[in-house]
Amino acid sequence: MIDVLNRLGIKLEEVAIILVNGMNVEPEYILKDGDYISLFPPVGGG
Amino acid sequence: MKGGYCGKILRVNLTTGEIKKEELDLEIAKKFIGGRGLGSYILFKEIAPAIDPLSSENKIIFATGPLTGSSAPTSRYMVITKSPLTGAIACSNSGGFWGAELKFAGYDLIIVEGKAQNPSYIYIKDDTVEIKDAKACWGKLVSETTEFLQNEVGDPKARVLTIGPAGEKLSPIAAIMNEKYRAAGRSGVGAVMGSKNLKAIVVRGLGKVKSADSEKTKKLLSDLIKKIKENGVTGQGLPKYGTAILINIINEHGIFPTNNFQKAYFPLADAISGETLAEKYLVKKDPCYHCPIACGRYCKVNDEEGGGPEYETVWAFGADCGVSDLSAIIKANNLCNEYGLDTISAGATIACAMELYEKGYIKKEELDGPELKFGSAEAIIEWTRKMGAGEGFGAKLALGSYRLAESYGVSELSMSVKKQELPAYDPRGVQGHGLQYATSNRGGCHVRGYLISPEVLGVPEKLDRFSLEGKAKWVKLFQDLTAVIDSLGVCLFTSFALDLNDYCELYNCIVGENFTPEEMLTAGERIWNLERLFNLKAGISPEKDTLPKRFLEEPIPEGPSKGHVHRLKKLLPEYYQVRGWDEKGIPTPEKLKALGLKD
Repeated sequence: MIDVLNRLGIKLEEVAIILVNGMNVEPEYILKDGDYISLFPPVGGG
Repeated sequence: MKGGYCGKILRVNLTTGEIKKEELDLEIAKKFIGGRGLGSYILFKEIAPAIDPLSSENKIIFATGPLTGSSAPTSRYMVITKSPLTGAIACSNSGGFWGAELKFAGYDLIIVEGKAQNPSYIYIKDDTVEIKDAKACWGKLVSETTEFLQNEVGDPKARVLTIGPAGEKLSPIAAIMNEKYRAAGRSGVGAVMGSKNLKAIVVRGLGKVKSADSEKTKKLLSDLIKKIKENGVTGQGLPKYGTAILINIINEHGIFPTNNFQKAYFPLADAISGETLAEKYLVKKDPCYHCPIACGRYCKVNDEEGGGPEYETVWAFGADCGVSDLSAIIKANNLCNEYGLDTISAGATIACAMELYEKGYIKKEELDGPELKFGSAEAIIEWTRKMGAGEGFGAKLALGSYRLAESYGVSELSMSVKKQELPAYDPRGVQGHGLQYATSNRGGCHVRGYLISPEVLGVPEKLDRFSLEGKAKWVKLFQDLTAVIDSLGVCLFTSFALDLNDYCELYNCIVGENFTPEEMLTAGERIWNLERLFNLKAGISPEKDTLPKRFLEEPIPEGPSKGHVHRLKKLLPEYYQVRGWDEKGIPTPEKLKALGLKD
C-alpha cells in the first residue's frame, strides 16, 4: 500500500482512512489483483 | 456570580400572561452544568412525565449553557420538552446566533408554560419582556416570519426563533428554526410551540457574557483555537466541504442506508457528495456565532438560495429515497427550512412511504401527488411541500414514519427507534453506533453518542466496527461526554479536536470553578440517568431499547458490510451492567444515590 501512495504522490500522514474493498487496512497491507482502494483525509461531520 | 452563567431564568406563562424573572440556583446549575442538563432537571421537576406532550401542561424550555455566548469557540442553545414524536424527553440543539443573543439579554433559560389564547410571540429586549400578538404572521413561512417580526419590532438585528406551518399544524416532526436556516430539528419540538399558540421568540440583548478569569481564559482559548485549526477534521475537512464530506466515506464503508435501509451502498453517492455540493452549488460558508470551524453551507439552485444542506439531509432525501439529483435535495431542504420540518424525519418518512408504496401497502389511488417511487426527484420535493402544508396525503406523512407505517399495520417498516427516524448510518455495519441508537434517550439519533467517530473516522482511536468488544463502555463514555458538551452550550464538532480536559479547563476558567474532569464526566452521567428516569416515568419501558427488526434479522445484502446484522442482544446486557443499572435496564438506587439523584 505504501508503494501505491508513493506512486500517487500522496504522503502517508495526509491519509486518515485506508479502505481495501470497504475494510480498514494498515499501510503495510499488500495489495492483491482486483483490490478496490479508497483513501480519505481526516474528516468528520454528522 | 463569577462568569458564564447570567444568573437569571425567565418564566413566561402563556395562559395567564404572567412574566417572572427568577434567580438561577447556582448550586443546581453547576450540578447539571446548564443547557440540556439543567433544562432536563427543571422539566423533570415541574411536569408529570406521563402528560400529553401537546397539552397545556407540557412546558418548553429554551436553555443556554454557561459557555453559550462566551468567548469559547462555538455557541448553541437547546430546547427541552416532552416530545410529541417519541413521548420521551426531548432535547433538540441548534447553533446560529439566537442562543448567544439570549445570554446577551441576560437570561440563562426561558421556561414557557400554559397555552396562549391566540397566536402570540415573545419579545425580549434586555430587561423588557412582552407577550405580543402573532396573528399577522401565523401561517407564514419561516423566512417571511423572520423578516416580518424583525420589521415589527423595528430592529433588523433582533434574532428570531420561530416555527413554520408544520409546527402550527402540530406535526410531530416539526422543527424550531432560528436565523431562518438553523434548526432545533428533532423530536417534534416545533409542535409543542404550536400547541401553545407560540409562533416565535424574538430576542435582542446588549449585554456580555463575563469570564471569571479573563486573562487565563484568553490564554487557554488561543491554545484551544490552535488545536481546532490544526486538526484535520475541524481545520480542513469541515470548513472546506461541510458535513456532507461524509457521504463518500460512509458509502465506501457500505453503511450508507439506501432505499429506506433496504441496502447500504448507493452507487450514485458521488453525485450527491460534499465535493459535488462545493463544486456546483455552494455560494458561501455560513458559520454560527464565534465558530472557528464554519461547517455551515449556503447554497444556490437556479434562483433559489438558502442554508444547508447537511450530510444527514442529503442522505435522507438522497440515498434513503434513492434520489441522486442534488438540486432536488437542496430544494427539499429549503422547503423543510421554510415549513419548519426536521429534515431527517421528513426525508426518512418519504423513504418509508416509498417502501410502503413499492410493497403495495400505499395504493396509487390514495395519492394526491406524484407517485412515491424510489429515485423520484419530483416526489421528494412535492411531498415535502405537502407535508409542511399538511395538505392531503402529506398530512399523513407529516405524522412521521412510525405512525404512517403503523396505519398500514407494518410499523416494522419504519426505520425508527422510539418512533424517531434513524439517521444516516446503517447500524449493522457499526455495532457500537447501533447500540447507541437503541439506547439513546431521545430515540433514533446520532448525536447522543457519535460512535461513528471511533468506529469509522478513527477519532480518538480506531475501533473495529464489527467487533462487540468494549463497545458498551465506549457508548457509555460517549453518551456521558456528549451530555457534558451539549450542556456547556458548545458544538459537538469541537470534540473532534478537544477532549474532556479541555472542556473542563474552559468551564473552570469562564465560570470560576475547580471541577476535575472526572466530576465533569460524572455530571454527564447524572444527566443521562435523569433523562432515563424521565422516560421510565413517561411509560417508555426498557423493551423500547431496541432496533427495527430489519437490523436484527436481515443481513446487509451487498457492498462492503455484506452479511452483517446488528448483535444487540449480546451488547445490551453489558451496556446495562456498565451503566450500573439492573438487568432489566432500570437505574439502581445505589447508582442514583451515587449520582446525587436520590437521597
